[in-house]
Amino acid sequence: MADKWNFEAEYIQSCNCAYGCPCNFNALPTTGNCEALVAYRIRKGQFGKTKLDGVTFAWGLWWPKAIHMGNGAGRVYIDPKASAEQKKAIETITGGKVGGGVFAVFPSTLALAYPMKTAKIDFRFKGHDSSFRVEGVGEVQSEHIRNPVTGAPFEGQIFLPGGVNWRKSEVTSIKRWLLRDDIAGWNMAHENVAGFVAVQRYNERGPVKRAA
Amino acid sequence: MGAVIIIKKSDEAHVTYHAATTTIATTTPTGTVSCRNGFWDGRDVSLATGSANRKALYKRGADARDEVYGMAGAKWKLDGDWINSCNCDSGCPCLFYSDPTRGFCEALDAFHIRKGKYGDVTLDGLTAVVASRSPGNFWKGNWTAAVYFDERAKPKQREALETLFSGKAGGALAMIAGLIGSLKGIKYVPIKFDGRSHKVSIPGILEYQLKPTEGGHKGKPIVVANNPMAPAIDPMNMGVGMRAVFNDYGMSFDNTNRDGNWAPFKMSGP
Repeated sequence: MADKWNFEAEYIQSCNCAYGCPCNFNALPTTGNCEALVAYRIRKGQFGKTKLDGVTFAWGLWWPKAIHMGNGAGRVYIDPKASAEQKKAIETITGGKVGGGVFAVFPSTLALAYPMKTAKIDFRFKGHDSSFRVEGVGEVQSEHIRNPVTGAPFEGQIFLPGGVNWRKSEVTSIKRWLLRDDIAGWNMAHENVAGFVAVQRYNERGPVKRAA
Repeated sequence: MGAVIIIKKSDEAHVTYHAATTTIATTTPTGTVSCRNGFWDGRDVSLATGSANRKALYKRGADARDEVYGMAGAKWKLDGDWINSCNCDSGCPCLFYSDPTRGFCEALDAFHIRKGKYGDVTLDGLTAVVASRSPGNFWKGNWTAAVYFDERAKPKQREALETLFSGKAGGALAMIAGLIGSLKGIKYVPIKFDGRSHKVSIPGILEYQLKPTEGGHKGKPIVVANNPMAPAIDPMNMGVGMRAVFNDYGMSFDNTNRDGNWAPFKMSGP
């Protein structure tokens, strides 16, 4: 049976934790709560009959404690190049009702999901040095983590065999990230925190192996 | 080689250290190596330049061996299993060069040699354990440490183990030894190492056992690959200590329910 929806996306993640993010290992967030700005650029995908190729969207997220403890808030920002059908598809997927691992898990932990907003997204996927910018909202700049003594770059990966967000990701440093959304009451700014860069394929079952 | 070649192996050796290379004499010493009882006291090995990079640490091990022992180093190769326990939360941030969860580091690192050779000395089946406490991020060194070797080791094997784990034979072990600032001592003790149940114990001194950190997939552990210890210790399986206690030399800790990792290791030199 064909998937109801699926896409393979380039993914850039920032949060407010220490490098590697303890939450990946069932530990509590470094400073007690979780704040994140992540973005996806779909390489190839479809939602029913709607093609999703090239659709770019970001997700601003905030929780008062660890993610699984709930009471969070989130808003999706989508690049204006997406058509009305594509916007509808992303709204549905990130709405939490059509599965997809993280796309079902995150919404279930949100007390407040603000309506999706259209904002131009400049998405630059360049391995460890990836970055994106959501016009008028925020930005994320990734780079290598470096050995504090020698400056040697870290190029390791985390493998989460049953992960809801990704199965394998490069572990990076977010040099700087900002998220400002007055309606949500967000004014986040973090430096030298956990970052992840991955290419991941999703369908309604969650992160799955990349298409051959 | 430099002039220090004339110093032969002795119980008490203090030599001037030329950082650059041992094959070309350098005129300006950049640090000192002090070696007591055949095992160097790390407090005296810091280079004048401060923190050396990893390459220099590897190199320093090899140089020190040549300079202290005045001989070409024996080739060595160790394959085995490593089991670690520390005081961080699960997923030790230090693996990503972040500071430890609680600001300081307490760790137990056991190296069980499945197949090992130092020169023509076979080390199969022997285990070494390093217990350490560092004041901050462990990459910044200044560890207070204690080293334990398997009491079944024969005299030749003991000499080889001490040479390897003191960092004198270079390689990844020299990098680890280079982080030790104060060595409390070395003991030959009975060590039990059970790789299958991730358990290590030395009666009256330490005991720890890990269980895998449970992710979404119950059968496959969470893994960190290409961690900063790679390729020597890699890939790293992530777990937590079901029990993890240490008490010796007036130093004690209990890191039950905290981070623990296991991995195969492969090391060699020179």
